[in-house]
Amino acid sequence: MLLFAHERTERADDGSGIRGGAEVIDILLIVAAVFAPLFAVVTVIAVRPAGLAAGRLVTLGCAVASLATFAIIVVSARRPDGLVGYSDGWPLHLDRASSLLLAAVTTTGVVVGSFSRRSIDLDPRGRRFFALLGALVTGGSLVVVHGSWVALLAGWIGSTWALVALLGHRSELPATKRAQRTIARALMVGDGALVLAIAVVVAIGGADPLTDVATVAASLGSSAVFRIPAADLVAVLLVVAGASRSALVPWHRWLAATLAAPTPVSALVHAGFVSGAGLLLIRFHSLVLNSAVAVYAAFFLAVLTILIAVGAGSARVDVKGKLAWSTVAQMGFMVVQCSVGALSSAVLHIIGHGLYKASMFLGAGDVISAGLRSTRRATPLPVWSAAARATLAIAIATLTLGLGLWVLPPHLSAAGVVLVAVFAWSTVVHGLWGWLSRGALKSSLALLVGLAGALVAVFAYLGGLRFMERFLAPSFGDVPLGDVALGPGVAVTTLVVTIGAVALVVGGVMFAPGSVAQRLRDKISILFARTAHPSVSKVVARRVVRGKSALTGSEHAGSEHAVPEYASPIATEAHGRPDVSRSQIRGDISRATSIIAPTWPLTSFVAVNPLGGLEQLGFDGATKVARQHLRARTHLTLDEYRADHAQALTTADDLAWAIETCFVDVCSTPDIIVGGVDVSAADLIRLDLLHGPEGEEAQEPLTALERAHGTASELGKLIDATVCHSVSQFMTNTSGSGASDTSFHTQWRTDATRVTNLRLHLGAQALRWLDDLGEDPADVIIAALDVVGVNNRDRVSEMRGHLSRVQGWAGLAKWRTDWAHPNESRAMLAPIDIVAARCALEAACMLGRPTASAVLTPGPGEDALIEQRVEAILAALPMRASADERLAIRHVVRLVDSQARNGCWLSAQERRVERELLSRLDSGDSGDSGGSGDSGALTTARAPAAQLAFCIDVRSEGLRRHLEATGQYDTLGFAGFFGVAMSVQRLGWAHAEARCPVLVTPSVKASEKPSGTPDSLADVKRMFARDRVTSGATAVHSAAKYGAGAPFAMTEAAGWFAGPVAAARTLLPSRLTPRKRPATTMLLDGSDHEGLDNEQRVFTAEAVLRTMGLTDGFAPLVVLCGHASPTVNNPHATSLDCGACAGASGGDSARTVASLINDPRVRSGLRERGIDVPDGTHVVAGLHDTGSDHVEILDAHLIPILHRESIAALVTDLEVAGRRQSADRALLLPGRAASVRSRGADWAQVRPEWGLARNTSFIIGPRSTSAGADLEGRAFLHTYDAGADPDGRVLETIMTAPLVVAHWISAQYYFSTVDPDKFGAGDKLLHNIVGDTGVIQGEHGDLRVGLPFQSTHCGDRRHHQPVRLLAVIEAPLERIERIIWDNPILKTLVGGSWIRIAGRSHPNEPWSIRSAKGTWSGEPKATNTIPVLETS
Amino acid sequence: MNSLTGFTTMARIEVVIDGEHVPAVRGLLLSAGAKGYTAIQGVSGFGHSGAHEGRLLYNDRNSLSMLISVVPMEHAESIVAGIRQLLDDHHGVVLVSETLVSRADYF
Repeated sequence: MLLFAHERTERADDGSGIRGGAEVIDILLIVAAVFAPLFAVVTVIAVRPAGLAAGRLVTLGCAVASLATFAIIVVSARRPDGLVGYSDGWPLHLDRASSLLLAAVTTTGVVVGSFSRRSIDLDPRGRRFFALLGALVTGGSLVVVHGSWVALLAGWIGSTWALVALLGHRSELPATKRAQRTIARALMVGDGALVLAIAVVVAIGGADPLTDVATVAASLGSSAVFRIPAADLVAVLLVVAGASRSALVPWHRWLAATLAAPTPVSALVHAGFVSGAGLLLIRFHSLVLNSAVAVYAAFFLAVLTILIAVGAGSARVDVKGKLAWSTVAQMGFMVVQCSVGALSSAVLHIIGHGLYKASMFLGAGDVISAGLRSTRRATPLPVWSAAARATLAIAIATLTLGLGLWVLPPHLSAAGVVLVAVFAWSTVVHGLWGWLSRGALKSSLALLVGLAGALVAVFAYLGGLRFMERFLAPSFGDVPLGDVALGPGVAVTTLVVTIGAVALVVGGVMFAPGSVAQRLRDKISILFARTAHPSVSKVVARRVVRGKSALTGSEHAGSEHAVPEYASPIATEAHGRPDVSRSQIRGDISRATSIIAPTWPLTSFVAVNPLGGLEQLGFDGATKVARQHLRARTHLTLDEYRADHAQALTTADDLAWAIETCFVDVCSTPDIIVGGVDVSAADLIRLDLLHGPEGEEAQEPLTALERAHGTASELGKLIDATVCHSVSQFMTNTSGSGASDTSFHTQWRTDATRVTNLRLHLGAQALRWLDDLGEDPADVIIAALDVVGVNNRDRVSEMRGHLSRVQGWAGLAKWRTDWAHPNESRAMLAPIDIVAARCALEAACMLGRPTASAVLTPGPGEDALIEQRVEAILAALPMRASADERLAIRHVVRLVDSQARNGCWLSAQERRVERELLSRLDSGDSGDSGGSGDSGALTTARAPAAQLAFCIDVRSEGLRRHLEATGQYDTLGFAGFFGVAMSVQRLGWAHAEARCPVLVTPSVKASEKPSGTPDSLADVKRMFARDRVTSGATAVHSAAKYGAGAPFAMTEAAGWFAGPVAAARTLLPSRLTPRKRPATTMLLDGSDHEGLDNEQRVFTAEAVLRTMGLTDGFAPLVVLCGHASPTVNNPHATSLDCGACAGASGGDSARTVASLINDPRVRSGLRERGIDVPDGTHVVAGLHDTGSDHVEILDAHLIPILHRESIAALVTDLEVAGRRQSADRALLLPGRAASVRSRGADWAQVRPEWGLARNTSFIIGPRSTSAGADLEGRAFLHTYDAGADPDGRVLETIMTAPLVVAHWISAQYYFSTVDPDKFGAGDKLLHNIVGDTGVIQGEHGDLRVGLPFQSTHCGDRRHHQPVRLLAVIEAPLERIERIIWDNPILKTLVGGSWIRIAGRSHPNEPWSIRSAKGTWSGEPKATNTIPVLETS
Repeated sequence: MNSLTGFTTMARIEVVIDGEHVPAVRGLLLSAGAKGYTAIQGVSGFGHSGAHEGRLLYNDRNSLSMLISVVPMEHAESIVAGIRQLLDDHHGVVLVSETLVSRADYF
């Protein structure tokens, strides 16, 4: 206390300590800066507002704090000593350094708070999330400010607690709990060390709670604790505290575990929380820098951390994992800066790196679209040889940096200057290498621009550093420059250069081409794999190391038996000739893979039925297999159906109908008498449906290991993690490298015994066995199945077990073998490879080792469940039942399969949907939206102003309805590729891409060509130049980001630009207006071997028009309107684009087909074939942005002047219709209605639009069938005129292609909704992108399939109603029936109840419903088919 | 037929199967030693599972396809073994016959 008073008195003597009138303002500013977020937190806890309101409050609190902090910086800058808040009795104050750091903390809080407010939206845990977020910001602020040691402790420990609690946001996920434990353990070490350090200071210095512990600690003098100098002890404890907080060795693994937290939390952690070591070393610099032992400890820990983190980062293939390990390395660098006394540099680093990493985390979802852009871009040839580029890069970097250091020498210690020089030099070298390698410009110009850029970058960096030094001089005036405790500058210099050299070697290996470099990369990857992926059960690994079994006690239970030992992995005798056996294995693999669906990469996300391979089993059969073999939920739970029933999604009529339909036999049994009252079987079933307990299907073990160790064995999870890791590494590192002939199996065999902690489970015999495995994966499977004792009969089931445990990656493998284009650049991965790998690892774990048969925990038996159901029925009955009556009830209940009850509820919901839809179609008008009624049909006599063909997508329905109500327009629906299966190559693209449904292979190619006018050519040239510069800039960033030693200085500098950009994207979200593309045309190629001659063009045009039903009555304008949804920061962006165009924009198809039909030679040919498109008719291409409901007219320069006026009127009407459509959508989207049109451009939005959620039906018929009916955007609309299709060819085409694709979409939404974990992609905020392939959730694991949780749910409420697709067809019933019977796919889908059919032959007939067996019955009416029994 | 000079007897394998299973059959053929195959999409006909229309306009996956491959006799058994496994779960036809080829090394 005395020391503290002395310190303050000295400041007062300088005229800068006690400031009279200014102190009130100082205190107010500090209170606002530090406590505003805490005040918001307290308000949230007290008032308990909804999540969104809580988000606003906390963000507002952070904003107030941020503003106050900037005011403090201004005040600090105006004072010579830079001190704010030094007043008698006031416990908190700041200098310039702490002011800057506080600004970083609070401003990041504003950005993250605002981002989270939109991304968390209606999450029921939102309030808790924001309260913890505010607490974390407050904790960070208290750590930064000077003053009370109690405040420091409270901030430090409080932020630990807040972070660990925030990690539990999705506490239901097992990975979250593991992460919480890992992080809590690591951080508690640091917390303990800090408490101890402060305890020593307080005990020896005698400081009171209000004193600044840093001041007292610096004056510990020669005091000792157990003969250890107190100053050294405290300094070392502070280093330990900082090392733990900043993830330095040996606590380096906790940071990667934070990936289990939502993205905004990761951003906050990486932006500030993790910089704890820097904050402590800066705050206690006067103590730490004078303790040689502490400085050496910090320095060496930091160096070791950098080396490990760089290696571990290189072994990661997931975006967030790479970022996390990069942060660990950056923290090491920060501590090196602090330990050599480069404190100003460290402050620059903390803030720059924090802003950069926050920006990278928040925008991690942009990786897929950036990758797509990069893939499309042609790779220009480098302008010089590699040697010349390297020489130039090194020379320019050396010259510019030398010049910069001469002009703006940093005011640092010798070691500090070396540090700056080495790493800045590395950054410039790599950046220049990237620039010159990309060949962005002509050689001389590229060199000049590179030189200028290097000069600007070097001077900006050194200038920024000098500015920081001068600004912070009052804070660090006491830091010795030439006499840092670390010792002679030569030693430091040597170490720094060593780090740089090692980093250069590592980086060189990472980027060097060639097979030698690839092998080195593999070695490094293997070396660091265990560091990078520690999740594979450390506990289990330890047990094995200690010679114990990896199994838990319960897993030991049961009878033991020894798996026989095998000398040779290939047992041919048991299977006949090896080649026959191999073929049989491959045949079985094909059967087994029916359990999984293909998973398309996110660059072209396509909806599929997750149970598509089981379609031939019918819906009930397939869902049963899925429950057993995938352990998936296939229906909503009974409670969920009952809740829907309570909300009138089903009525008593629907339920009664469903009971009679689903349980025909049971309902025909005689009534029973209960308490003297007749009760029918249907009544009892209804009571069971309404009140009975849920039936759970027993989870049978799927693989040999599961049978031995249980379904939840740690060993099984370890094998899963190992396989997932190997596959993800292979797919990311090998794709696009030209090594596509290398199969996964080949690589896996090399790494199988070395890659992971699994090695610890394998004895020498198992390792030898793995090494001896054959080169053919079929041989491996044969050997492995022999080891685990699976016979031929059970082989398919066993393989399914293996596939289901890594369902996502297996799905990708299925896509790769069954669906990918032959030229696909992604690495070769086949399902058999995955089965072989997993099968072999299981066998190796069980080889020669006594194993136990797991004791499965039996669920409630079927008898017990039936008893519970009877009890529930009896409880609901108003009368008491005798023992005999009870037996009678039991008999009825036993006849009703417990799982079938969920199916019955599903039928009831579908019945309701069916009644509602058909009723709306019959009424033709159900709201105030107007509509053209029958006049909307194309066959009407009146002349429309324009005819607009939209994609059949459900999102077009509302826009069509509103447009028809706006003016004289006819609309029609057709698949968005407009009938031409083409690939498209736009200007500047390296390759053509498919723009047609995945069911069909592109047969023609369209290319974008400049329109030929001088302006257009000039625009094209400018566009190419811009693209080249953008490409070069991207290459600079990429090279500096991943180059050896380069990221350290790069992030310091880049963060100051990335931070404000991130803030602008968060705080001012607005629709980004893409740069206008030059005037071009899209034409079907006609000159090469893929091209079409005029006759083929005519044939193509005719097929399009006839299938569209547009053969006469042409309006002056015909608009082909594709659709797209340009969203940002959205890994699943392509899922919102046009599915009929292979998950891409439909604009290209519209442009191509429009130009085809406008071609005079084609029109001439069409006339000869009976389709007269008048000369006065012009076909226009349009693009419907389903996120903003704006329709853009494409290729406007091609529209004749004659039509300009009508186009202008059409654009106006489209805008009116779009706004009405937006108003409709705003009712369904959370958040502010006003922002509905700009959600796609908001990088914080996890739900830019609802996509195809709530889809229920597919309507095939003339527009008059649905015109005027408000179908709420839930129906696919395909135009069809039965009269113009006497042979049914068009209807067959519609039913065998668009209807099938719509069924896939419907099924994907269905299953993603009923089981978001198994069939869905999980929470978007936890998504972690792997390569450009897909997402995993959190730090590691299986690839996620299906739709994100936010696409089907809003908060904890279901938005999508999971029902099967209803096809409503207006066509002769016999024609529909014939088409179904003629096409096996339709027989499967309709007969298997995947699709329900309603039809009518004529508009004035009632609708008939087709049963799965092929009988047609009348339209369902709302009648009470079963009297409802009153229940208690 | 065997008396034809310069010709070699080989096995001709013809598989008619749903388009969606073509990749699996293709994989089986190639992995079992076939050097090539001929694929015909949109095969029509009538059989146990009723009528099959030919090629669909916008769906290459759900119409019948025929794959024809000629392989040395010793490979036929293993190929057929795999296809038979596949046909346990799916409709399809596999025909194996002897055929004469003039360039045996071509296959």
